[in-house]
Amino acid sequence: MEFSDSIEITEAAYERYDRDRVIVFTNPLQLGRAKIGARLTAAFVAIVVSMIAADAVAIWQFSRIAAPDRRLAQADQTSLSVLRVQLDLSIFRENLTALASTHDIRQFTTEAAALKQKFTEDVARSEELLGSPVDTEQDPAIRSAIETLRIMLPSQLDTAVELASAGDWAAVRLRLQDQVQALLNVSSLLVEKVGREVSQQRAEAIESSRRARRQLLLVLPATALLTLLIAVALGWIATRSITDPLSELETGARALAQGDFQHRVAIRGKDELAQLGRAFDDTTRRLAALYETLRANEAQLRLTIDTIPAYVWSALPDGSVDFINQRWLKFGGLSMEEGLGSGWETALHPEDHADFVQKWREAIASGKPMETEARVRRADGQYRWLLIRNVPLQDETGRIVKWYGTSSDIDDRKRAEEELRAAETRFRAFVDHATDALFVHDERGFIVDVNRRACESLGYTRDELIGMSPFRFDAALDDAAVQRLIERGSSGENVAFESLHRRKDGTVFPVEVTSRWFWFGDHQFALSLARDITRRKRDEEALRRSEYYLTEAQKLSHTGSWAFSPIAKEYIYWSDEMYRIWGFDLRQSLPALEAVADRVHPEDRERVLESLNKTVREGKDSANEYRIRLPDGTVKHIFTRRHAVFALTGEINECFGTVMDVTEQHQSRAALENAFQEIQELKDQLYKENLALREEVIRASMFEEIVGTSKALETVLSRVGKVAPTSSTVLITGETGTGKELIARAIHKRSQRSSRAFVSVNCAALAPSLISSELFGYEKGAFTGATQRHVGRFELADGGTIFLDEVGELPLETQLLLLRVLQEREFERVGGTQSIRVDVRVIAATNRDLRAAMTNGSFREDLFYRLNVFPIAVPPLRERKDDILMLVEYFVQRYATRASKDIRSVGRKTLELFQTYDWPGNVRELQNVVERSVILTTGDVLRVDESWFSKDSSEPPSLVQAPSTLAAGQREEREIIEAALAETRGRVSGPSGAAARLRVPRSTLESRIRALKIDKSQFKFG
Amino acid sequence: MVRPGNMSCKIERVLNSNNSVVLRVSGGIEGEHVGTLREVLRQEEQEVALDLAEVNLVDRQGVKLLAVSEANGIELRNCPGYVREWVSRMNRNANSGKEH
Repeated sequence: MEFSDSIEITEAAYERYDRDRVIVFTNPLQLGRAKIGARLTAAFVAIVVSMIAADAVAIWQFSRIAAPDRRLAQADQTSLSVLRVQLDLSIFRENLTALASTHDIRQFTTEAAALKQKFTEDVARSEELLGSPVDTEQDPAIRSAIETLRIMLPSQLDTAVELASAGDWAAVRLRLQDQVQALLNVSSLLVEKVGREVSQQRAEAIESSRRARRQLLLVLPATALLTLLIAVALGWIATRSITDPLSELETGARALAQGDFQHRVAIRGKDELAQLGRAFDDTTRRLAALYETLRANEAQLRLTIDTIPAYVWSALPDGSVDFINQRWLKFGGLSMEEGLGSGWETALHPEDHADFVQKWREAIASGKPMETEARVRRADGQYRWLLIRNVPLQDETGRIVKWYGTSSDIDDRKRAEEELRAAETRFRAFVDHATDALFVHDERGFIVDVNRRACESLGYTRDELIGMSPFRFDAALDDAAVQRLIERGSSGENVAFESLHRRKDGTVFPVEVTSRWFWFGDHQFALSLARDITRRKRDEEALRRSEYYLTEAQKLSHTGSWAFSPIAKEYIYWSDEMYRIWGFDLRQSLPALEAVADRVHPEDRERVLESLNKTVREGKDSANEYRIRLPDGTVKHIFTRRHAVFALTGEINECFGTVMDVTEQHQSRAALENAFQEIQELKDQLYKENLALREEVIRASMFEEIVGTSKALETVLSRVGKVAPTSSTVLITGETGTGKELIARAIHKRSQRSSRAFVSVNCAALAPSLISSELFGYEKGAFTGATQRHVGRFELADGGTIFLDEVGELPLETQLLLLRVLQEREFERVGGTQSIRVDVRVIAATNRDLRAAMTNGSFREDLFYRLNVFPIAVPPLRERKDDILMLVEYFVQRYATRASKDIRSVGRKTLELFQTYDWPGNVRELQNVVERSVILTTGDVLRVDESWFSKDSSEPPSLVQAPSTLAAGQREEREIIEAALAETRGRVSGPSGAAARLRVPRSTLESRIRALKIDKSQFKFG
Repeated sequence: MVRPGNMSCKIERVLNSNNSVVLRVSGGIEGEHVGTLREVLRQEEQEVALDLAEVNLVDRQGVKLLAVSEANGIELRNCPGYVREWVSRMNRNANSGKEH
């Protein structure tokens, strides 16, 4: 079917279609014969003309109303001008009469001229107004009166002036009175007539105006209505001439949209709409023909689509399927209704559903063709792999108007591919798990495949290696060498060589490469296997080094090694040093057994051969020291060891051994033995001397710094000597300063633990909350501040001795822990869970009366008895005054030496003071006094100041009472201590300190001051 | 004779009924304990006071920390006399701009 590209719309054509039309639009005015633009222009022009005519009528009516008003105004002006003339006459008469009385000719003349001028102007104006054309008839007497006035007054005035100039003022006054009065009468008459006439004109004008206004009220609405009717009529006609054809076109378009190709639009005329209507009808006819053709083609296409061996469907732009061919429906066992829209998705395999739908949505969103594979359920329930392709159909603007899709069954191919892929995967796994790197090259030398080991060893990815020449990473071969290898390999020769491979990071490693070429199809390939031989090279290097070191070691130690074959009965290996020891030439071959045996000293030869045979035949290790004699007569002493190596069969495979040249050792052995003998004798002698010296040292240091020979002290030292060798717990009591720690040290030194630690703990010096952690240690994090594990004093003293000074100051909870240690010898660190066993000897000391403390409950009874296994009471210095002189001498010597002074004696008075003083601070106080004296002494005689000694020393101090007995209560205790501190200005220690004043040990008072939270510093300046 | 290392430092946190905190310090404020105490003080958000009744030893850094703490409004309770004197002297020197 052919269609012309252009459509010619003619009246004839319109007439031809007219018989088919359903609706015929008829235009009685035949406006359709003119163009729409011309029609609209004509209508607008007509409307404008009618409006102009209406405006002209209105103007005419308004002018009629204005005419009476103009006449009325003119009458008023005329009346006014006449009144002004009358007024001028009155003024004229009165002013001149008054001037005439004054006889002032000059003034009279001037005034007369001015009045004349004024009068003349007013009369002229009145004449002008009365002379204007008027519609009404004017009274002739008016003009006559005006004329009379205009003529008479100036002459009268001139006469009056002449009379005045002549000095006839009486005549002037007379003339003014008579003549001017007459003129006034005329003017009054004039005014009366003009007034009457003006009244008449006003009445006529008002009446005329009323009449014109009434006419205006009728004419103006009539004119406006007529104009409006004309405009409406023209507008309606023009609009209908357009809207009716448009309506017809719309009806036709709607019918066409509904597929009614029989509908015709018939519009008469020659305007644009008529042409459009004819074009529309022509197009409808052509579309009808096309539609019929399309329906035929579609039917044929559907038949084709349902027949072709493919699954075909189409979908709307939004992806909903609107057509599925019969083959697809038959395949899936679906009806058309079930498959349309998104119903086809039910046939997708559940595992492929989400992925396929996602891809389909992405294709719809992007407008790009889609191709994927998915499993689809067949009518028999079996899932088959389908290759599914979707392509969009776009219109000329690029908008997607349709999707078309096909599917083809690829299940067989898919299964074959999967099997092939599985086989390839298996093969790839085998290849990738090879311990050596595999490369496949083509005949040009480029890599076409590699295994995983190749990638790992070189640091490249598989994609990077494929296509790469192996020479890129071969650091040892040049192009020529590579070319030679390719030629050798391609000629069928298996090629093996060592080279260096360079990794991607630049590092190099040695490889052993074997290549074999093979044909695959029409092409030749090479399979190269590269084995990393770094370890082997390293081992070889290590072996070379080892051999070198062994050779050098043998050279340095004059030791050779050898191997002997029992079967061949000959040496199979000699080290270099063997040649040197035996005097054979290193460049020669291995010497024969006989040649070697000849060089053995004859006296030793049989013994040596016998030992060799024992090892060679029986496999037993053997060793000999013998002599060899070299060709130059030199005799060497040789020491040989032999060892047999057995094969798996149990037979002796070979023997090997060492030969050491011990000539030098042999020669020096005698000297060494002599020296050893001498040393042994000296050692024995030294041992004896050492024993003697140790005894002396022990005796001297047994009671180091325990000075005195008094009975009381000897008793103490005797007890120390008895208890020291044991591991018994010792409780040392005594006043402060009596040297309890010295006693404890003496016990430790004399015990079997003397080589181990002596750990001293002043229990009163530790913060109460830290005593447990200090004694037993703590774990990291046990409390805030425990930043690391801390070993306690007990653990430190393991194997040795722990000295618990001021044990009476221990808090009750710590006493319990200490009791457990004494009983079970084990404890846990603070914050720890593991029990720690220790072997510690406990020596406790106190200056407190522990029995009293037990009584008041501040010290555990069971702990007391655990500690009080072996009590030692250290006497106060006042009970061993015999020792004072010796102690003074001892301390003077110590401090004088330290101060580089030469003090030869002690003053008599000083000695008396020493002897008489009670020494409440005991030896420590004595020591301090002596040290102070040595410092202050200038000569060689030691002297002390009497004021140093406490005056209140007559009363001996006793053991410290328990805190509760120090005062009745804490309040009283605080008051006592604060009073003492106030007296001593905060000083605690010393003869004048608060401790001495209260007769309590310094450490105890310090402890109580802390316990009671007394600030000592506040008493310093009190 | 075995002598132990640095004196231990134990910090106990006591929360009062008025929601103020008292850090009761025992042992020595020296060496690494200074840093520990500084960190503990830094973590406190409530009003805090230091109870130094059982403090036996304080080194220069410890005193500096106590002086700074007191200058920042932290009350030093039961401060041992020598520590009190040292802290006061350090604060005086700091106020007079003297290098300490």
